[in-house]
Amino acid sequence: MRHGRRRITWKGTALVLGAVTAGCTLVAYVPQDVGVVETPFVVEGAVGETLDLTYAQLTVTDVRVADTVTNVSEAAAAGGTFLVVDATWRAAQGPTALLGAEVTDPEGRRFWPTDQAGCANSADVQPGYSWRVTYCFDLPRDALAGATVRLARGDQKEEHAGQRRDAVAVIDLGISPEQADTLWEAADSVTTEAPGYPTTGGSAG
Amino acid sequence: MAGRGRSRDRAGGARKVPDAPLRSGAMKHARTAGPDLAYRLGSRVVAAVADDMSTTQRVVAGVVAALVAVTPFGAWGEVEAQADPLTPGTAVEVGPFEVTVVRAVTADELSYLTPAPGNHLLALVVDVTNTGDVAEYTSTFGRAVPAPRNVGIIPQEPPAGAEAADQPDEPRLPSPSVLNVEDATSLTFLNPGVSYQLALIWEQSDRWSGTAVPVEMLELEWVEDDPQGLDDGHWFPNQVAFRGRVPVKQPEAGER
Repeated sequence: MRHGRRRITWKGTALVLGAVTAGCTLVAYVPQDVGVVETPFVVEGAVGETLDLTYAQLTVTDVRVADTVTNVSEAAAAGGTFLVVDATWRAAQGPTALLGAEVTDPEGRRFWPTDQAGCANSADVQPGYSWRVTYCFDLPRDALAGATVRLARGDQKEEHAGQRRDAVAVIDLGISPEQADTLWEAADSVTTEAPGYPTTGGSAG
Repeated sequence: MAGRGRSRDRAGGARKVPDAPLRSGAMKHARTAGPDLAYRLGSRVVAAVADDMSTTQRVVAGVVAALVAVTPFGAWGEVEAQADPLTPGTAVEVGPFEVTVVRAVTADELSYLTPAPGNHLLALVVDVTNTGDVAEYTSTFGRAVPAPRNVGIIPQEPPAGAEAADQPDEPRLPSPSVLNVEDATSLTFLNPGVSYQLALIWEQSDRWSGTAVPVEMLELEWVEDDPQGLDDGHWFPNQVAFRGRVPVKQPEAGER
Protein backbone atom coordinates (compact mmCIF):
# COMPACT_ATOMS: atom_id res chain seq x y z
CA MET A 1 0.00 0.00 0.00
CA ARG A 2 1.35 3.36 -0.95
CA HIS A 3 1.73 5.95 1.80
CA GLY A 4 2.38 9.66 1.67
CA ARG A 5 0.63 12.67 0.22
CA ARG A 6 -1.18 12.31 -3.05
CA ARG A 7 -0.52 14.97 -5.61
CA ILE A 8 -3.28 17.44 -6.43
CA THR A 9 -3.39 17.58 -10.19
CA TRP A 10 -5.08 20.06 -12.50
CA LYS A 11 -7.04 17.19 -14.01
CA GLY A 12 -8.40 16.07 -10.65
CA THR A 13 -9.26 19.63 -9.64
CA ALA A 14 -11.10 20.20 -12.90
CA LEU A 15 -13.07 16.98 -12.44
CA VAL A 16 -14.19 17.93 -8.92
CA LEU A 17 -15.13 21.48 -9.89
CA GLY A 18 -16.96 20.23 -12.96
CA ALA A 19 -18.96 17.72 -10.90
CA VAL A 20 -19.91 20.35 -8.30
CA THR A 21 -20.96 22.81 -11.01
CA ALA A 22 -23.04 20.18 -12.78
CA GLY A 23 -24.77 19.24 -9.52
CA CYS A 24 -25.58 22.85 -8.65
CA THR A 25 -26.94 23.44 -12.14
CA LEU A 26 -29.19 20.40 -11.94
CA VAL A 27 -30.58 21.42 -8.55
CA ALA A 28 -31.11 25.03 -9.63
CA TYR A 29 -32.68 24.56 -13.03
CA VAL A 30 -34.37 21.16 -13.19
CA PRO A 31 -37.99 21.43 -11.99
CA GLN A 32 -38.45 19.55 -8.73
CA ASP A 33 -42.19 18.93 -8.97
CA VAL A 34 -42.43 17.27 -12.39
CA GLY A 35 -45.06 14.59 -12.23
CA VAL A 36 -46.17 15.50 -8.70
CA VAL A 37 -49.79 16.56 -8.46
CA GLU A 38 -50.18 19.32 -5.89
CA THR A 39 -53.26 21.05 -7.23
CA PRO A 40 -56.74 20.09 -6.09
CA PHE A 41 -59.17 18.25 -8.34
CA VAL A 42 -61.77 20.91 -9.02
CA VAL A 43 -65.37 19.84 -9.58
CA GLU A 44 -67.35 22.73 -11.03
CA GLY A 45 -71.09 23.16 -10.81
CA ALA A 46 -74.02 25.49 -10.32
CA VAL A 47 -76.60 26.24 -7.65
CA GLY A 48 -79.01 23.31 -7.29
CA GLU A 49 -76.64 20.80 -8.89
CA THR A 50 -75.34 17.85 -6.83
CA LEU A 51 -71.58 17.39 -7.12
CA ASP A 52 -69.67 14.21 -6.32
CA LEU A 53 -66.39 14.94 -4.48
CA THR A 54 -65.68 11.20 -3.83
CA TYR A 55 -65.62 11.76 -0.06
CA ALA A 56 -69.00 13.52 -0.06
CA GLN A 57 -71.82 14.77 -2.24
CA LEU A 58 -72.56 18.49 -2.14
CA THR A 59 -75.53 20.55 -3.22
CA VAL A 60 -75.73 24.33 -2.87
CA THR A 61 -79.45 24.74 -2.41
CA ASP A 62 -79.94 28.49 -2.06
CA VAL A 63 -78.11 31.80 -2.18
CA ARG A 64 -79.39 34.90 -0.40
CA VAL A 65 -78.06 38.24 0.79
CA ALA A 66 -78.68 39.97 4.11
CA ASP A 67 -77.60 43.11 5.92
CA THR A 68 -78.00 41.25 9.19
CA VAL A 69 -77.91 37.60 10.18
CA THR A 70 -79.50 36.57 13.43
CA ASN A 71 -80.10 33.55 15.57
CA VAL A 72 -81.45 33.10 19.08
CA SER A 73 -78.34 34.48 20.76
CA GLU A 74 -76.81 37.04 18.43
CA ALA A 75 -77.41 39.52 15.63
CA ALA A 76 -74.48 40.29 13.38
CA ALA A 77 -74.39 43.28 11.04
CA ALA A 78 -72.43 43.09 7.81
CA GLY A 79 -69.67 45.54 7.00
CA GLY A 80 -70.69 45.05 3.36
CA THR A 81 -73.48 42.57 2.81
CA PHE A 82 -73.77 38.95 3.89
CA LEU A 83 -73.88 36.44 1.06
CA VAL A 84 -75.75 33.55 2.68
CA VAL A 85 -75.07 30.18 1.05
CA ASP A 86 -77.19 27.18 2.06
CA ALA A 87 -75.64 23.82 1.28
CA THR A 88 -76.34 20.16 1.89
CA TRP A 89 -73.53 17.67 2.43
CA ARG A 90 -73.77 13.88 2.37
CA ALA A 91 -70.62 12.02 3.42
CA ALA A 92 -69.77 9.01 1.24
CA GLN A 93 -67.64 6.74 3.39
CA GLY A 94 -67.23 7.79 7.00
CA PRO A 95 -67.39 10.69 9.44
CA THR A 96 -65.98 13.65 7.58
CA ALA A 97 -64.88 17.11 8.71
CA LEU A 98 -65.57 19.63 5.95
CA LEU A 99 -63.33 22.58 6.74
CA GLY A 100 -63.07 24.55 3.51
CA ALA A 101 -65.45 27.41 2.71
CA GLU A 102 -64.45 30.43 0.67
CA VAL A 103 -65.97 32.86 -1.80
CA THR A 104 -63.83 34.19 -4.64
CA ASP A 105 -64.70 37.20 -6.75
CA PRO A 106 -63.66 37.73 -10.39
CA GLU A 107 -60.67 39.81 -9.21
CA GLY A 108 -59.37 36.81 -7.31
CA ARG A 109 -60.06 38.22 -3.86
CA ARG A 110 -60.79 35.52 -1.28
CA PHE A 111 -63.49 35.92 1.38
CA TRP A 112 -63.87 33.66 4.40
CA PRO A 113 -67.09 32.88 6.28
CA THR A 114 -68.14 34.34 9.59
CA ASP A 115 -69.05 32.15 12.53
CA GLN A 116 -71.40 34.77 13.97
CA ALA A 117 -75.13 34.34 14.58
CA GLY A 118 -75.29 30.63 13.88
CA CYS A 119 -73.45 30.79 10.57
CA ALA A 120 -71.12 27.86 9.97
CA ASN A 121 -67.54 28.00 8.81
CA SER A 122 -67.18 24.21 8.74
CA ALA A 123 -69.30 21.07 9.06
CA ASP A 124 -68.92 17.62 10.60
CA VAL A 125 -71.03 15.06 8.76
CA GLN A 126 -71.72 11.38 9.20
CA PRO A 127 -72.34 8.97 6.30
CA GLY A 128 -75.79 7.84 5.39
CA TYR A 129 -77.78 11.03 5.62
CA SER A 130 -77.72 14.62 4.40
CA TRP A 131 -76.62 17.52 6.58
CA ARG A 132 -77.67 21.12 6.01
CA VAL A 133 -75.22 23.98 6.63
CA THR A 134 -75.51 27.75 6.21
CA TYR A 135 -72.38 29.74 5.37
CA CYS A 136 -72.35 33.57 5.60
CA PHE A 137 -69.70 35.63 3.81
CA ASP A 138 -69.36 39.37 4.39
CA LEU A 139 -68.65 40.85 0.95
CA PRO A 140 -68.13 44.34 -0.49
CA ARG A 141 -70.49 45.48 -3.22
CA ASP A 142 -68.04 44.91 -6.06
CA ALA A 143 -67.49 41.26 -5.11
CA LEU A 144 -71.06 40.05 -5.67
CA ALA A 145 -71.20 39.86 -9.46
CA GLY A 146 -69.49 36.72 -10.75
CA ALA A 147 -68.72 35.36 -7.29
CA THR A 148 -68.04 31.64 -6.86
CA VAL A 149 -68.08 29.59 -3.68
CA ARG A 150 -65.42 26.95 -3.04
CA LEU A 151 -66.37 24.21 -0.59
CA ALA A 152 -64.13 21.28 0.32
CA ARG A 153 -62.88 18.84 2.94
CA GLY A 154 -59.53 20.63 3.33
CA ASP A 155 -59.37 24.19 4.63
CA GLN A 156 -58.45 27.15 2.48
CA LYS A 157 -55.82 28.72 4.71
CA GLU A 158 -52.17 28.95 3.67
CA GLU A 159 -52.99 29.14 -0.04
CA HIS A 160 -55.33 26.13 0.05
CA ALA A 161 -52.61 23.89 1.48
CA GLY A 162 -55.21 21.62 3.05
CA GLN A 163 -56.82 20.97 -0.34
CA ARG A 164 -53.78 19.61 -2.19
CA ARG A 165 -54.49 16.45 -4.15
CA ASP A 166 -58.09 16.44 -2.96
CA ALA A 167 -61.42 17.20 -4.53
CA VAL A 168 -62.93 20.66 -4.12
CA ALA A 169 -66.22 22.03 -5.39
CA VAL A 170 -66.33 25.41 -7.12
CA ILE A 171 -69.86 26.61 -7.66
CA ASP A 172 -70.81 29.60 -9.78
CA LEU A 173 -73.40 31.51 -7.78
CA GLY A 174 -74.87 32.95 -10.98
CA ILE A 175 -74.98 36.59 -9.86
CA SER A 176 -74.98 39.00 -12.79
CA PRO A 177 -73.92 42.67 -12.42
CA GLU A 178 -77.57 43.73 -12.59
CA GLN A 179 -78.57 41.23 -9.93
CA ALA A 180 -75.63 42.36 -7.80
CA ASP A 181 -76.97 45.91 -7.71
CA THR A 182 -80.43 44.68 -6.74
CA LEU A 183 -79.05 42.38 -4.07
CA TRP A 184 -76.88 45.16 -2.62
CA GLU A 185 -79.83 47.51 -2.28
CA ALA A 186 -82.06 44.91 -0.59
CA ALA A 187 -82.17 45.40 3.18
CA ASP A 188 -82.95 41.89 4.29
CA SER A 189 -82.31 40.02 7.47
CA VAL A 190 -81.77 36.28 7.53
CA THR A 191 -82.45 34.15 10.57
CA THR A 192 -80.02 31.27 10.42
CA GLU A 193 -80.85 27.74 11.41
CA ALA A 194 -78.39 25.56 13.26
CA PRO A 195 -76.80 22.86 11.09
CA GLY A 196 -78.99 19.77 10.92
CA TYR A 197 -81.14 17.58 8.76
CA PRO A 198 -82.49 19.25 5.63
CA THR A 199 -85.79 21.06 5.97
CA THR A 200 -87.81 23.01 3.47
CA GLY A 201 -85.29 25.86 3.64
CA GLY A 202 -84.02 28.67 5.85
CA SER A 203 -86.31 31.45 6.93
CA ALA A 204 -85.76 34.83 5.42
CA GLY A 205 -87.25 37.79 6.99
CA MET B 1 8.02 1.89 55.62
CA ALA B 2 6.05 3.31 52.78
CA GLY B 3 4.09 5.44 55.15
CA ARG B 4 7.25 6.88 56.62
CA GLY B 5 8.57 7.49 53.11
CA ARG B 6 5.53 9.52 52.19
CA SER B 7 5.93 11.39 55.40
CA ARG B 8 9.52 12.25 54.50
CA ASP B 9 8.39 13.40 51.06
CA ARG B 10 5.89 15.72 52.63
CA ALA B 11 8.53 17.00 54.99
CA GLY B 12 10.92 17.47 52.05
CA GLY B 13 8.24 19.36 50.15
CA ALA B 14 7.78 21.62 53.10
CA ARG B 15 11.46 22.41 53.12
CA LYS B 16 11.26 23.50 49.48
CA VAL B 17 8.87 26.33 50.27
CA PRO B 18 11.55 28.95 49.51
CA ASP B 19 11.46 27.70 45.92
CA ALA B 20 7.87 28.77 45.58
CA PRO B 21 8.53 32.34 44.35
CA LEU B 22 10.56 30.89 41.50
CA ARG B 23 7.67 28.71 40.39
CA SER B 24 5.34 31.64 40.80
CA GLY B 25 7.60 33.75 38.60
CA ALA B 26 7.63 31.07 35.96
CA MET B 27 3.84 30.94 35.92
CA LYS B 28 3.62 34.69 35.52
CA HIS B 29 5.86 34.39 32.50
CA ALA B 30 3.65 31.67 31.10
CA ARG B 31 0.61 33.89 31.49
CA THR B 32 2.21 36.77 29.62
CA ALA B 33 3.38 34.48 26.84
CA GLY B 34 -0.12 34.39 25.26
CA PRO B 35 -0.44 38.09 24.38
CA ASP B 36 3.21 38.18 23.40
CA LEU B 37 2.71 35.32 21.01
CA ALA B 38 -0.42 36.86 19.55
CA TYR B 39 1.32 40.20 19.12
CA ARG B 40 4.33 38.58 17.45
CA LEU B 41 2.11 36.56 15.14
CA GLY B 42 -0.01 39.60 14.30
CA SER B 43 3.06 41.70 13.61
CA ARG B 44 4.48 39.05 11.33
CA VAL B 45 1.24 38.74 9.38
CA VAL B 46 0.92 42.51 9.01
CA ALA B 47 4.58 42.78 8.03
CA ALA B 48 4.27 39.99 5.50
CA VAL B 49 1.19 41.56 3.94
CA ALA B 50 2.14 45.21 4.13
CA ASP B 51 5.88 45.13 3.40
CA ASP B 52 5.43 44.97 -0.34
CA MET B 53 2.57 47.48 -0.44
CA SER B 54 2.67 51.05 -1.54
CA THR B 55 1.33 53.74 0.80
CA THR B 56 -1.94 53.90 -1.12
CA GLN B 57 -2.36 50.16 -0.88
CA ARG B 58 -1.69 50.31 2.85
CA VAL B 59 -4.35 53.00 3.32
CA VAL B 60 -6.90 50.99 1.32
CA ALA B 61 -6.04 47.83 3.23
CA GLY B 62 -6.40 49.71 6.51
CA VAL B 63 -9.85 51.03 5.55
CA VAL B 64 -10.97 47.57 4.47
CA ALA B 65 -9.70 46.10 7.75
CA ALA B 66 -11.56 48.78 9.72
CA LEU B 67 -14.80 48.10 7.82
CA VAL B 68 -14.47 44.37 8.50
CA ALA B 69 -13.73 45.09 12.15
CA VAL B 70 -16.91 47.14 12.71
CA THR B 71 -19.17 44.66 10.90
CA PRO B 72 -19.87 42.44 13.96
CA PHE B 73 -20.99 45.50 15.91
CA GLY B 74 -24.01 46.23 13.71
CA ALA B 75 -22.43 48.93 11.58
CA TRP B 76 -24.46 47.86 8.58
CA GLY B 77 -27.73 47.24 10.41
CA GLU B 78 -30.73 49.16 9.29
CA VAL B 79 -31.04 52.38 11.21
CA GLU B 80 -34.22 52.23 13.30
CA ALA B 81 -36.87 54.09 11.40
CA GLN B 82 -38.47 57.06 13.07
CA ALA B 83 -42.17 56.49 13.75
CA ASP B 84 -44.53 58.63 11.67
CA PRO B 85 -47.16 60.73 13.44
CA LEU B 86 -50.53 59.14 14.13
CA THR B 87 -53.39 61.61 14.04
CA PRO B 88 -57.09 60.91 14.58
CA GLY B 89 -58.94 61.21 11.28
CA THR B 90 -55.91 60.46 9.09
CA ALA B 91 -55.64 57.05 7.42
CA VAL B 92 -52.42 55.07 7.72
CA GLU B 93 -51.29 51.79 6.15
CA VAL B 94 -50.44 48.99 8.56
CA GLY B 95 -49.58 45.79 6.69
CA PRO B 96 -52.69 44.81 4.71
CA PHE B 97 -54.91 47.22 6.65
CA GLU B 98 -55.89 50.83 6.08
CA VAL B 99 -56.55 52.27 9.52
CA THR B 100 -58.03 55.55 10.70
CA VAL B 101 -58.15 56.35 14.40
CA VAL B 102 -61.57 57.78 15.20
CA ARG B 103 -61.56 58.41 18.94
CA ALA B 104 -60.76 56.97 22.35
CA VAL B 105 -63.45 56.58 24.99
CA THR B 106 -63.82 55.08 28.44
CA ALA B 107 -66.81 53.02 29.55
CA ASP B 108 -67.91 50.94 32.51
CA GLU B 109 -68.77 47.98 30.26
CA LEU B 110 -68.92 47.16 26.57
CA SER B 111 -70.96 44.24 25.27
CA TYR B 112 -69.88 41.13 27.21
CA LEU B 113 -66.72 42.83 28.55
CA THR B 114 -66.94 43.90 32.18
CA PRO B 115 -63.94 45.22 34.13
CA ALA B 116 -63.02 44.24 37.69
CA PRO B 117 -64.16 46.61 40.48
CA GLY B 118 -61.95 49.69 40.56
CA ASN B 119 -61.31 49.54 36.82
CA HIS B 120 -63.05 50.67 33.65
CA LEU B 121 -62.62 49.94 29.94
CA LEU B 122 -60.58 52.02 27.54
CA ALA B 123 -61.69 51.69 23.90
CA LEU B 124 -59.73 52.93 20.92
CA VAL B 125 -62.19 53.20 18.04
CA VAL B 126 -60.73 52.77 14.55
CA ASP B 127 -62.00 52.40 11.00
CA VAL B 128 -60.28 49.42 9.34
CA THR B 129 -60.31 48.11 5.78
CA ASN B 130 -58.42 45.04 4.61
CA THR B 131 -56.82 46.24 1.38
CA GLY B 132 -55.31 42.85 0.53
CA ASP B 133 -56.65 40.00 -1.61
CA VAL B 134 -57.39 37.51 1.12
CA ALA B 135 -59.21 37.55 4.45
CA GLU B 136 -57.05 38.30 7.48
CA TYR B 137 -57.55 37.37 11.10
CA THR B 138 -58.87 40.21 13.26
CA SER B 139 -56.26 39.21 15.82
CA THR B 140 -53.55 40.00 13.27
CA PHE B 141 -54.73 43.60 13.30
CA GLY B 142 -55.07 43.53 17.11
CA ARG B 143 -51.42 42.55 17.47
CA ALA B 144 -50.40 45.65 15.51
CA VAL B 145 -51.82 47.93 18.21
CA PRO B 146 -50.04 47.39 21.54
CA ALA B 147 -51.67 48.57 24.75
CA PRO B 148 -50.98 52.24 25.56
CA ARG B 149 -48.18 52.44 28.12
CA ASN B 150 -48.12 54.30 31.44
CA VAL B 151 -51.85 55.01 31.44
CA GLY B 152 -52.95 52.41 33.96
CA ILE B 153 -53.71 49.52 31.60
CA ILE B 154 -54.17 46.42 33.75
CA PRO B 155 -51.29 44.02 33.02
CA GLN B 156 -51.78 40.54 31.69
CA GLU B 157 -52.13 37.80 34.30
CA PRO B 158 -48.94 35.72 34.48
CA PRO B 159 -49.36 32.14 33.27
CA ALA B 160 -50.49 29.68 35.91
CA GLY B 161 -47.53 28.18 37.72
CA ALA B 162 -45.05 30.82 36.52
CA GLU B 163 -42.27 31.58 39.02
CA ALA B 164 -41.84 35.15 40.23
CA ALA B 165 -38.23 35.05 39.02
CA ASP B 166 -39.44 34.30 35.49
CA GLN B 167 -41.56 37.44 35.33
CA PRO B 168 -40.29 40.36 33.25
CA ASP B 169 -39.31 43.52 35.12
CA GLU B 170 -42.05 45.49 33.40
CA PRO B 171 -45.47 43.80 33.53
CA ARG B 172 -46.66 42.56 30.16
CA LEU B 173 -49.69 44.43 28.86
CA PRO B 174 -52.44 42.43 27.15
CA SER B 175 -53.49 42.41 23.51
CA PRO B 176 -56.78 44.21 22.98
CA SER B 177 -60.19 42.61 22.88
CA VAL B 178 -61.68 43.58 19.52
CA LEU B 179 -65.38 44.24 18.97
CA ASN B 180 -67.30 45.38 15.93
CA VAL B 181 -68.83 48.74 16.94
CA GLU B 182 -71.86 48.19 14.70
CA ASP B 183 -73.20 45.16 16.58
CA ALA B 184 -70.78 44.64 19.54
CA THR B 185 -69.84 41.18 18.29
CA SER B 186 -66.43 39.62 17.81
CA LEU B 187 -65.17 39.19 14.27
CA THR B 188 -62.83 36.35 13.41
CA PHE B 189 -61.86 37.59 9.95
CA LEU B 190 -61.63 40.90 8.13
CA ASN B 191 -62.57 40.26 4.51
CA PRO B 192 -60.95 42.22 1.67
CA GLY B 193 -62.59 45.48 0.66
CA VAL B 194 -65.02 45.53 3.59
CA SER B 195 -64.75 48.44 6.04
CA TYR B 196 -65.44 47.95 9.73
CA GLN B 197 -65.44 50.25 12.73
CA LEU B 198 -63.71 48.31 15.47
CA ALA B 199 -63.16 49.01 19.14
CA LEU B 200 -59.82 47.89 20.59
CA ILE B 201 -60.50 47.47 24.28
CA TRP B 202 -58.26 47.25 27.34
CA GLU B 203 -59.06 47.27 31.06
CA GLN B 204 -57.80 50.45 32.72
CA SER B 205 -57.45 51.45 36.36
CA ASP B 206 -59.88 54.06 37.71
CA ARG B 207 -56.83 55.77 39.25
CA TRP B 208 -55.77 57.00 35.81
CA SER B 209 -57.13 60.48 35.21
CA GLY B 210 -55.47 61.70 32.01
CA THR B 211 -57.07 63.34 29.00
CA ALA B 212 -55.18 61.53 26.21
CA VAL B 213 -53.49 58.19 25.67
CA PRO B 214 -50.33 57.43 23.67
CA VAL B 215 -51.16 55.10 20.78
CA GLU B 216 -48.64 53.17 18.72
CA MET B 217 -49.15 51.07 15.62
CA LEU B 218 -46.57 48.49 14.66
CA GLU B 219 -45.39 47.76 11.18
CA LEU B 220 -46.76 44.40 10.02
CA GLU B 221 -44.07 42.58 8.07
CA TRP B 222 -44.97 39.64 5.81
CA VAL B 223 -42.93 36.51 6.65
CA GLU B 224 -42.98 34.19 3.63
CA ASP B 225 -40.65 31.54 5.07
CA ASP B 226 -40.23 31.28 8.80
CA PRO B 227 -36.99 29.38 9.47
CA GLN B 228 -37.50 29.57 13.23
CA GLY B 229 -40.95 28.00 13.24
CA LEU B 230 -43.47 26.14 11.17
CA ASP B 231 -45.69 29.13 10.57
CA ASP B 232 -44.79 30.16 7.03
CA GLY B 233 -46.72 33.00 5.46
CA HIS B 234 -47.88 35.24 8.27
CA TRP B 235 -47.83 38.88 9.31
CA PHE B 236 -45.22 39.68 11.97
CA PRO B 237 -45.67 42.79 14.14
CA ASN B 238 -42.32 44.56 13.92
CA GLN B 239 -41.15 47.98 15.03
CA VAL B 240 -43.34 51.00 15.76
CA ALA B 241 -44.46 52.62 12.49
CA PHE B 242 -46.89 55.25 13.82
CA ARG B 243 -47.12 57.02 17.15
CA GLY B 244 -49.44 59.71 18.46
CA ARG B 245 -51.64 60.86 21.32
CA VAL B 246 -55.39 60.39 21.10
CA PRO B 247 -57.72 62.48 23.28
CA VAL B 248 -59.94 60.37 25.52
CA LYS B 249 -63.61 61.22 25.65
CA GLN B 250 -64.94 60.71 29.14
CA PRO B 251 -68.55 59.51 29.36
CA GLU B 252 -71.15 62.06 30.36
CA ALA B 253 -72.70 61.76 33.80
CA GLY B 254 -75.17 58.88 33.75
CA GLU B 255 -73.70 57.56 30.48
CA ARG B 256 -71.29 55.14 32.18
